[in-house]
Amino acid sequence: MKKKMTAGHVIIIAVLILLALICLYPMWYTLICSISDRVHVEAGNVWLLPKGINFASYRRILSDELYFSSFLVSVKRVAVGCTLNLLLMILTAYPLCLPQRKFPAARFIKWFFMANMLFSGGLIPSYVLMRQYGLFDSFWAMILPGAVPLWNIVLMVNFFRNIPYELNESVTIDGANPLQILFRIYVPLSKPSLACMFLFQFVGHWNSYFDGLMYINDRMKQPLQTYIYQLNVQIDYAIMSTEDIIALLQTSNKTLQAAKVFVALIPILCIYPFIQKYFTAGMTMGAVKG
Amino acid sequence: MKRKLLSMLLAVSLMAVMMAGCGKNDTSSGSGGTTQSPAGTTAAGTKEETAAAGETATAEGTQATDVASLTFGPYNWGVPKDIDYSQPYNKRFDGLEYTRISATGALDLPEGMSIDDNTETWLFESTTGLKTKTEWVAAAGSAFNNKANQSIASGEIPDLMNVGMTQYYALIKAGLIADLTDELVNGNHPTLQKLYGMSDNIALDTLEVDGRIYGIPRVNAQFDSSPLIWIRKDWLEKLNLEEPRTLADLETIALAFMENDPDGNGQKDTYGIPVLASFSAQKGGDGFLCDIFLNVGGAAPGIWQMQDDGTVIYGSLMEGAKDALTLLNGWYEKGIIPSDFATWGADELKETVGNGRAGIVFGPWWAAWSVLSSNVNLDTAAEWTAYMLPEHEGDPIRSAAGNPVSNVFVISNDFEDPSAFVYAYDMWCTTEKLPTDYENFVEVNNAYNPMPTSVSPKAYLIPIRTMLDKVVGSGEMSTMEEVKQACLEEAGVSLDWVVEGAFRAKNVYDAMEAGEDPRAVTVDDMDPVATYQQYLQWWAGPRALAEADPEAVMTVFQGTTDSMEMYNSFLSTYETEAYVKMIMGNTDGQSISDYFDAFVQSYLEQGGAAITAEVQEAIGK
Repeated sequence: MKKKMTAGHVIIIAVLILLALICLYPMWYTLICSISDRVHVEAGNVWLLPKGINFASYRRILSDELYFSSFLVSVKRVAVGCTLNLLLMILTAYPLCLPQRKFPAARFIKWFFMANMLFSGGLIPSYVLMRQYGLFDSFWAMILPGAVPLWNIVLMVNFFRNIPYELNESVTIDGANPLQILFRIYVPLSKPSLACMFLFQFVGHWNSYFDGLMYINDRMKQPLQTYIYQLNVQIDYAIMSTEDIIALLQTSNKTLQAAKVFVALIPILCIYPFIQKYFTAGMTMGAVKG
Repeated sequence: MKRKLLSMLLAVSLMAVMMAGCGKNDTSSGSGGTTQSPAGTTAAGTKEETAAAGETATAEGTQATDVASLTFGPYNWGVPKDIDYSQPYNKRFDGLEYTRISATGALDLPEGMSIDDNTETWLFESTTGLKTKTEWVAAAGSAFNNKANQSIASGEIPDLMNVGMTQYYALIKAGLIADLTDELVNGNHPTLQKLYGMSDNIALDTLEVDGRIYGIPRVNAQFDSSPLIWIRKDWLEKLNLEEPRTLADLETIALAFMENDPDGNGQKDTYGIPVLASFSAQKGGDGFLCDIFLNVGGAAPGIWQMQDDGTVIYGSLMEGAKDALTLLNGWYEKGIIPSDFATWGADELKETVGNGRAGIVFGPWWAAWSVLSSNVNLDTAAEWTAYMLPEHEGDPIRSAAGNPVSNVFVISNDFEDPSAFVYAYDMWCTTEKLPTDYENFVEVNNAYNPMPTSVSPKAYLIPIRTMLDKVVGSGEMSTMEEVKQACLEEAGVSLDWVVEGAFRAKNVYDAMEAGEDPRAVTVDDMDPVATYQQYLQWWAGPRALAEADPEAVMTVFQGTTDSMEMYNSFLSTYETEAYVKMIMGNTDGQSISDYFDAFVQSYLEQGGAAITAEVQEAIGK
């Protein structure tokens, strides 16, 4: 099928290529920084091609125990966190999608969830709460507070509502119990949206750094993004002592930071292409109500 | 297929951008400059390291020796020099464990050491008897502050904390820290009392809240980040220009650097004086403008000043600022200050200097590690020399001396004996801290130090002056030991690490005097670049300070008040914007003088007056 190229097509393609370049450039820049000589990076000479190519930064990462341990924590966090999130999300969303007469309490529960989405206790109460629970320095401090993903549940309820309720009724007549209905009918039918939810949660868990910073004191247990967050040190002349500033200046290393950031990008880059086909499908499915 | 590929590409890159944005991990956003540190120069900046490393170990940096081969106990070094601490406190605190938090997250330790088990903690324990246990570690900056503020807010603090003034007040309000007044004022702490006394106890006064002192202040050397003028000497020579003796000379040089192609590439692509829109005289830094205000017209932006009639005034509102703003406006009109300077950050400044597109830049005495570092590394022909801002109309030279208190050590109420830390800090500041066998000594970054020491306010002036007068000048001293002794006598505390730096730098100075290429000199095992950086840091910078011997300008009030918390975020933006507008001549048709008056009026009305009243009250205590 060969279509005629019109001026419109050319413009659209040009705009898309430009957008792609804009999106690709930060990654490219990170990559070339990571393999350039740091003196050139700091002098601002590196912007299109690497200068003074060397892989010293990557060699240093390979010998950095802390980087690897936090990488593993992140992987574990994503695996455990996403699984738990998806499970709890499905289990919560299903009853809420049923018609009012089947589950009268749904209305209250929805408002309860809504209130929790809008109002939170705030940073310090959460911090105190986590300490009282004894979750400090525990892997679960990063998993449990967000284990029930409220926002995604709202989306999921709408996904489930798109599935004709008649299906549910007919399977009930055939003798299926609610769990069977959920896992044999609803879940298989909403695979695309589940993939999308998985992606949301994957990105969320992979990127989150603040809980790791707040609740985890042992650096070997902190996730990768917490580690990376702390690479980028800001110098404040007003409050830091000269010795601190000099120490920071001597240790900060843009090249190494770029290399670490780039390695952290890889998992997402690997997973994304395989899931992205579900992405748009999942996003629009919930939007149209049946 | 192609379409699919493109869409995939787009999607992947979008995702990546999202990642970078969400994780806040893009490397280019750091506001502070970053610097290369060639192997073997880690000892350059921080005094304990250098002191500990001694002459021979310094050059080898942190990779020097295998720690496993050393035996570090029983501790046999760190015996205080001239004060007998053997009784009773040393014994009393022996092995007493305390908890702390540490902002060393971004640093590496040599193989075999850990946060509670490194050179600094060994020395601290051997000197003071206190055993360090670290609750957590985070990188200095927002990561550390977030975590520290969190633990203050929740009321669970470690035994020892190293805080700034804002946190200090918060801790007092929360009733979490111990009252140390009696110990600090009446206790027997000769070194501390000497150190505080050198600046008229202003450090202790600063910490006073309702007559009580709740922390141990750490004082810094004065002028530790005063913005000196760094000038490319090779450019001066190339264009046959004289050294600057007045501000008019500086202007002439800047114009020549812009017009006469000092880098010889046939293009007019060099800047005059690239600066940042940073005015505060609280502390200087790369590209800071505060010293111009202090010297031209005598305003002191960003800090509190006492007027003759006994009232305080916020230095940015002082009448004299008009003169400096007019001068800077003149520079701006002539193109000496880049037209877009207000958007520049430390990174841009460093890039510009690094690429050899600027030959004049404001920077502290250790600028070799910050704004000059790229240039010194990339261009082996570049030679720099430092000047203090030349005197203006015969007035004495003034410079931003920094805050009276750099930070405060506070002790938790829950710690069994808070006074232990006052004794510990006194010993710690006294001690030489040199291990008897320091040839095998592996130094670590000073940031691991549980209680970084206070230094003499004149730390950077005394050694270089002694070197210039007695070693280079009259020749009555020649060895490092003699100079160390002379400095110890004059300063009252050891300045050995500065003397050692100055002796390293002297090699480069000698070569320059002999007409040799200073960029080819090597000291110990350092490469020529690192050697030259040592020279800039320990000789060129301090020499400019010592020769000008500026008058120290300090704030009279370092704390925060209630109104400040309410209005400051707005007011500081407003102030910077107004200053930038006046420098750019963007004053709505008014003269700078009229615009400034209107700015002061409006500043006071929008909260400035309330803040001033509170500061007046706090000082009048």
